Amino acid sequence: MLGLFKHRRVAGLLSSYIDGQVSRAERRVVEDHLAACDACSRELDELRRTVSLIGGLPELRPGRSYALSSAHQEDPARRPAFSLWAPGIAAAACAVLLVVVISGQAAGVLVQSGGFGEESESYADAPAVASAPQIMALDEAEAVEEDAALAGMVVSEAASAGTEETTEPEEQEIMEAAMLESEVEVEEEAAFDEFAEMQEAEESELMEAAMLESEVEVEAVAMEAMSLAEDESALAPETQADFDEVDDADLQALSESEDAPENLEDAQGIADTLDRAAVETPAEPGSEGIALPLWQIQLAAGIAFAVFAMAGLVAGLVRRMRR
Amino acid sequence: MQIDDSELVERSKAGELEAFNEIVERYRSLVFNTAARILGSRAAADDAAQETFISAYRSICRFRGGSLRAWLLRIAANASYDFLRSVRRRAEQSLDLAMERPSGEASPEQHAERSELGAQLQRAILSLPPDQRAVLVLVDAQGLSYEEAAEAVGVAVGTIRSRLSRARRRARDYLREHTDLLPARLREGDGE
Repeated sequence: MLGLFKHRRVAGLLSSYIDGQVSRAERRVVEDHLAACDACSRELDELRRTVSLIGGLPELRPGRSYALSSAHQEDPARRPAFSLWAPGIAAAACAVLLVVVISGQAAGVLVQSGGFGEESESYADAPAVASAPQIMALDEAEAVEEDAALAGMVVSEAASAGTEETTEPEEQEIMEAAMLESEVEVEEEAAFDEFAEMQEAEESELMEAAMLESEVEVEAVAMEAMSLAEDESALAPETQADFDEVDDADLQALSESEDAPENLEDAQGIADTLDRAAVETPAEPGSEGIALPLWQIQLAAGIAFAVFAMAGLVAGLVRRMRR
Repeated sequence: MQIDDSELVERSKAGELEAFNEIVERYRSLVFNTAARILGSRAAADDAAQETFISAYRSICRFRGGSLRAWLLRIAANASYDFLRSVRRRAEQSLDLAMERPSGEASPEQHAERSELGAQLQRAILSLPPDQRAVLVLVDAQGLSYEEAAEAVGVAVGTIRSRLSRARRRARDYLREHTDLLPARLREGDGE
């Protein structure tokens, strides 16, 4: 057993022994063992011959000169696209983060102070704004946002790793789950812009949905969302007729969401939950309930963007370091 | 009198293209041969070498002294890895080096024997995982010290030692299993 251990140890030292890269003690161990072990002696010979053969490979003649011309002289100033892209995306993400946080605070203030004009009165009377179903709905929306953020990170990583990697199946799966599959081959900035639009659309949509006070309006939104989700041509005239009672802002939010039909399914889910809450739960005055979940969503979105920005920055730095 | 590498580097940092092209001239064979042995393809090695010098020129301002050779070989190894990742060529498809005709005076039989041996050795190198391949090429084919190889690959000297040990044994195994060149050479070597 001890012999086998020593045999393995010596076998592992043979390569370094050939190069004289062993300590004096190791050298003694190796040489004592070699004197008694034919297998290791044979192995040493084979390794020596392998090293000698590799070292004897002929030197190849380069096919070109590789000398740089004055055209390359301008290159240091022109950074590669990815190096530009990483800080750019980070800056853009930070800007959006700022907007999200500010708009989140503004929304919180407006909601708490009973803003939004005539909507505010009915909103104050709106049932179940702090009820469990709605919080669940908003939590779901938050989860959707996190998925979207995850997809954004994947876009960032895939982009920095090269476009060929964006076709990896698992990445596509995540992308699809987060409703960004159509952006796989889109330019990184375009992908980010669209992602940001989706986020903003979702934000405004959530706010609008939360501020709908009547069951009728909520249902109208839900129906519209369903019809839009099923058919991308969307906004058929009769649906618009049903939709007349809905606030203009709601229309705008929904038409914006047309670009990302899956968002409408979220809206539908939220609207459904609101609807259900309105039916099941008795009126519960107080508006601070809606402010808290909204604030949480803004925070989640902010964190998601911050993570997204960091991922883009790190990817860019890693790429630059490898150069 | 030959200008020192460090002076060429400083002049390159100042934007003197001729100085950088002198560096290119000095190291082009080393960079090309390293890439060629890692990739097993002349055409790919030409591209990798060109990319190496373009990258080196762009980042010469970040070279803070030390071994210029190791620094360039690090860029060359990375360029080769990039090529392996992006093209994903299989070893069998990139063996044009197996047909390399060695220079020097030799009989046709010796030419044939060397070409076959070179092809088998190149296959043995390509049978290794890229990290082991690079270390074997740098130390055994290009003659770098363990320290320089560690600098070129960006790992500790101990890692070079263990990686090289695995690479050599694996290359030996390949030659033993796939060729009769090694035993023949061994017999020849035993007679020396």
